[in-house]
Amino acid sequence: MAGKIHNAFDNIKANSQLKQATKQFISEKYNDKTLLVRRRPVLQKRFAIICMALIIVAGVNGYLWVKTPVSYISIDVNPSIELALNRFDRVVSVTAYNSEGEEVIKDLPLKGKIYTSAIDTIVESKTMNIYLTENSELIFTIAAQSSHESKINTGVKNRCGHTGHNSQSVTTDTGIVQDAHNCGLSIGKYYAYLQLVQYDDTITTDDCHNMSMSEIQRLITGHGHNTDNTDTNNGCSSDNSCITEGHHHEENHE
Amino acid sequence: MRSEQEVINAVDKYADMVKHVCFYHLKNSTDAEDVFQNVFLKYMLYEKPFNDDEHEKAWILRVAINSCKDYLDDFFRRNKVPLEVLNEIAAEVPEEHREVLEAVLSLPVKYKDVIYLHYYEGYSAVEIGKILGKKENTVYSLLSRGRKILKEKLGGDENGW
Repeated sequence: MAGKIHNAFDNIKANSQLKQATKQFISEKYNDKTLLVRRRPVLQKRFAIICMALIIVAGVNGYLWVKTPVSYISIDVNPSIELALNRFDRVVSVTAYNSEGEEVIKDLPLKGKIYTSAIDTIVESKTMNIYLTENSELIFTIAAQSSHESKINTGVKNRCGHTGHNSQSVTTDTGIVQDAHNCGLSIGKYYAYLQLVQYDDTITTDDCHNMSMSEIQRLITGHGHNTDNTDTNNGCSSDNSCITEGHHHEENHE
Repeated sequence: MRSEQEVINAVDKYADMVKHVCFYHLKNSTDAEDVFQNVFLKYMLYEKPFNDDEHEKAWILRVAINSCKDYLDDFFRRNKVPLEVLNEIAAEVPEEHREVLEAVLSLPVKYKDVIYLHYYEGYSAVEIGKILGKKENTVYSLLSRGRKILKEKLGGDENGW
């Protein structure tokens, strides 16, 4: 009986008319451009996915590249504020390290600004001016990659000259940034702490946290370390005096 | 995409086989022609190479069976009375084979494929399982039940099938 099925189906043939119609149908499809285009979605899809992935990767990397801080400027009086700058020297974040600092930066539009403009905005703010008295010390501490350090320092020095206050700029390397932040201090205050602790190892970062920069500076001076150095001119502009100590570099501006 | 010559060769080589599948699945020659042509269109557009002729044949069988099932998924098509097919059988097939074909056509869809693939194409249960994407035991079971139904319709010794 199995043979019966075989024999029965042998009678069912695709006639030549059907074959010819199919060949004609196929031939027409070869000339159908829309069909050819429609058949490419696998490749197109893959290409689109790769492009999308590349765009996303480029976008994320670009975003990180622009948003990653590479330089820091700490502005310390009693308010302790730190600006984080990207590769284009624009402010990507602003951090206050005490309540006075928080009060100063509150409502100030600083993000995205070029650092010189951000410094002007901070120093000229009404709240900051409460702290910029005759006896106060405005200290800018710059931690930047060597390629940016000189440029930022020049920019800060120019802003120092315009503040009309007793100001000082210090450059340090970026190595202390993480340590400073771990201690809850701006790099400016942490740098001052490092100087002070050389003479008084009982001093702690918490102590410095609660002191103004002028108080810390007075303690350092009291220990016989001349941080003023206004009498030493080692190549800065005639208006400013500088001190170079290892890789640290301080300048006073009046 | 395959070359036009490859597709033409495939039409010549597999036309009868595809026609058989369309024949036992579909209700009339117009439906069969639509599916028949679409099978070779899919072949034309299929870009992966085949390992050998057997692989190619099994691929075409699978595509033909699936194309027929897709075509029948339309509710109205599924419920059409296959009068035309029966009429075509009367016209094309000699009297002595007509009863067998009518019996195969009257089988539930799930049995038709295994009966055709086993008794006409000579595939084993394992091979049918691969083509239809079913387990070997399921194929054995479908073959057994299909054979039983045919026996009831046509008479004769079940083991002789």
